[in-house]
Amino acid sequence: MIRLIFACLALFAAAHAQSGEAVRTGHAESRLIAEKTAAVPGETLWVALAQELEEGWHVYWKNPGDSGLPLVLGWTLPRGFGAGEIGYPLPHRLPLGPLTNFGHEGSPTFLVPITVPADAEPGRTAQFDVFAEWLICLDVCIPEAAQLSLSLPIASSADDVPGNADRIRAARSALPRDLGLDAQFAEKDGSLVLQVNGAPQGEAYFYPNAQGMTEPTPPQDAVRTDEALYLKLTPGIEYQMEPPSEIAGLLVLEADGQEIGVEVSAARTDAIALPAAFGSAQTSSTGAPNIILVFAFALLGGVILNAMPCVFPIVFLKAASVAKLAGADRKTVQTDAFAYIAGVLVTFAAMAGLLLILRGAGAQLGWGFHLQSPIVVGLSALVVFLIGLNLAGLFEIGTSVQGVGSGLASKGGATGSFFTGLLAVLVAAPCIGPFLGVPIGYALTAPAFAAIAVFLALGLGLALPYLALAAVPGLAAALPKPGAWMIRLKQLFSFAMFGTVVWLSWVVSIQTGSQGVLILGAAFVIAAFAAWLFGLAQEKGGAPLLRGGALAALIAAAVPMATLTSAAAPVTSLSITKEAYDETRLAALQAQGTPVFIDFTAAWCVTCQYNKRVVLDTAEIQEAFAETGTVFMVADLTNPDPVITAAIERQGRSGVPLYLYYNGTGEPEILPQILTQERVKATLEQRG
Amino acid sequence: MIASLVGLLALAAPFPGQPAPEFLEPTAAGINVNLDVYKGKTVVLEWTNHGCPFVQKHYGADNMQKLQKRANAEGIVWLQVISSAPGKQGYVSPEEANTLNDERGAVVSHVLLDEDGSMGQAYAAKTTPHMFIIDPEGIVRYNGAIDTIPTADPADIPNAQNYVMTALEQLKAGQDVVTSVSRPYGCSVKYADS
Repeated sequence: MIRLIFACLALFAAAHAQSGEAVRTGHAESRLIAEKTAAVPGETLWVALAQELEEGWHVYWKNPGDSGLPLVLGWTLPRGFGAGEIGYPLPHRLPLGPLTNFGHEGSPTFLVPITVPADAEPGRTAQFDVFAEWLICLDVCIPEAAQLSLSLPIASSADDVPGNADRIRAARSALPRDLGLDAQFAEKDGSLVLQVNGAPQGEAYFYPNAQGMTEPTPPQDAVRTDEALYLKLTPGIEYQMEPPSEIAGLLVLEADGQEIGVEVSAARTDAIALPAAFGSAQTSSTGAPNIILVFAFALLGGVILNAMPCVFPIVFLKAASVAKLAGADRKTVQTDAFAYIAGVLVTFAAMAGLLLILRGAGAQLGWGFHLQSPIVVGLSALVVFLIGLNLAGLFEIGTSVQGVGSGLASKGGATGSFFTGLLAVLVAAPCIGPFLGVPIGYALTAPAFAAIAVFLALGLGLALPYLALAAVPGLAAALPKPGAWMIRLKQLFSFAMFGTVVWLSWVVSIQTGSQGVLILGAAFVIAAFAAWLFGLAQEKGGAPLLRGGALAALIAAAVPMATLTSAAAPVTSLSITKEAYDETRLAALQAQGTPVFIDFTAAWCVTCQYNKRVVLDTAEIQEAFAETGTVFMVADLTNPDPVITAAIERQGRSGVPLYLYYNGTGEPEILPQILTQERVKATLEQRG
Repeated sequence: MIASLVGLLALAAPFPGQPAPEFLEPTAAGINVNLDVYKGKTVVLEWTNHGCPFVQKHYGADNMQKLQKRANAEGIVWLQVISSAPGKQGYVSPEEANTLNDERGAVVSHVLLDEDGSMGQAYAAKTTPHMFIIDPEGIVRYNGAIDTIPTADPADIPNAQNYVMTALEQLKAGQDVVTSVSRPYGCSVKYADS
């Protein structure tokens, strides 16, 4: 009867394009919105029921929990049009005394994909009517209903509807993802244990799709091992009456205030080997056969790291210290080399530790993560700038060049070498060499000891040339004799440091905009003044006033760096349209058979910038994109993004660059980390 | 702490085949009743809240009363249970409870006033209405919704299959209850805030 009344009312309602008229019911305002200005034949049109709920009131998820009812939509669509299933926002737990419901508060957006038939006639108008029924509750519950409608022209192309498109896309990007995770469950002492392998990080809660499968109120104890997430669930009455062979649902993970939903379908198994924290036997070992290979790759990657563009200046620096030692006795050379190696290894071990702590805390990160903060980039630039000034001769650190060869030099030299090793690693971080993706991807998911071993292997690789210097007696002797040329060489190396400064400044400019560059530039000037005062003090010997002034100036240079904050990425003009990474759009394009190229990149990644300048942004390659109709998506990790990090991890990688090509038929092809025009062209054109 | 206690209580939810939890509650008639006194009789428990639209659906369409009358004719004990805490929707004084039933023409053996929610939690009653059937041996035979269509629209009643009526018929015929569990639907029981 209510339906009949609403149907009558609908007859008098005026037709509105793109956004239907908002209908106010007792405690909610509801309207139908569309992402696009028109319905395009053969395509999927995304519409949504957009609700604004009265403060404190909630509506329900598809499994409403202990009580409540989910949204029901009854569509009346033009012939040939079809409405898909409701895409719910991620649910939240709504406790009500001893009961708990699953639902939504605030402004929920319920998505519905509408398939537009290929033979829809352009020029006509498509009218979408829906009778929506929902239960809305504070602690009291009111069933509400509304007849909503929307009419759109049918046209061969459509534009985004301002506002609506953003809301629909935001809702779409929050839809649960199917990561193809392997999951199983078993009964254990009256509870259910759900095991999800490879679950993304974050605080977890499992929402079963079926009501009554698990009890919503008891807490779900969680334990993580390096491979899997274990959740303890309380079986609900439906489960107890008829234990199913499979439990499907939604795993919501919350980290850093961000939530992601992952679809999980767990098959019943007889027993799950529980981690110790659940008071049972230890888990089985991991894929041990791979570890030696991964270790070897890490070692090799470390060696290659020496030749990376951003490590090279540091290698120069190290070479300078080796040059200093030319002709020194073997013991000094050994002490120096070991100090350098110790510096490298300590830094790698510290980073492995940090990575493990952050991984445990649920943070999403990749190699080079520490460079994502503009403050760190700015401070690095300042440090590298000071090293450059040091090399240029403005001031000295520790023992002076004149001291080389004297027995006293060994101590100061060793300390210097230790810090050189430390610096080499910090600056190397953003350069993921072609060999580093695999071992670090492994380290991110491997057990803790294996992760640390891989990091140490990387460090050992980076330090290997110096280890050889210490171990092989003839090598050190073969180094050229010291002389005045060393000072010239050192000064020459300073230009490599200044080059690095330019690059880091450019990264800061992208992260923070022109304001950041101004702060950084001022810092350089003040730091240079500090260095000059310090050098003056060294010349005079003692001079505490000058040293104090130098320290004050250095602090004055560094402190304003703290104000550097990330700004939105600027839009660059290009001949082809680059789209921001959107997984639903990706799925839609794949369904249509449209080829897609995804550029996982970041401003702080030198290899990425090289590939962009030399290959991707060239006219020739842009043309190839246009000709083949390949969609270019950019997944920018300059600022942390959990969705993009998860997408990278899915490919078994941990950092950028990563280039994926979907040929429109299936699995992505992973392109090399160093691109060539020929390779990219061949990939794009292979579809013929 | 409270949450984990509640969790334990939830675990104790009786499902068909298990003994029904014992209770001792004051009634609107001013006496206390427990389950044991009904040994040898079939008992229906109906959780209710007169302010709830789902309860109103079944009383407004005379659906609940019909079922109550039929049960009464067969000598079945019908206990209405109100687990609303003081100040919450559905909480009533004994007099109000009786007046409400008189006005609606409800036929019940007793109205149990479970204002501390102890009985509701012992049965893990989640919604109003939420129905239970207990056989003469004190074993739960049905736990769930009143019927198959979970809406608040009375127009749906004629099209719905009434679980409770079906279960009572099957029990009367000496059969097992085929659908002995269903998802209760309705408003949440208005327990005290924990």
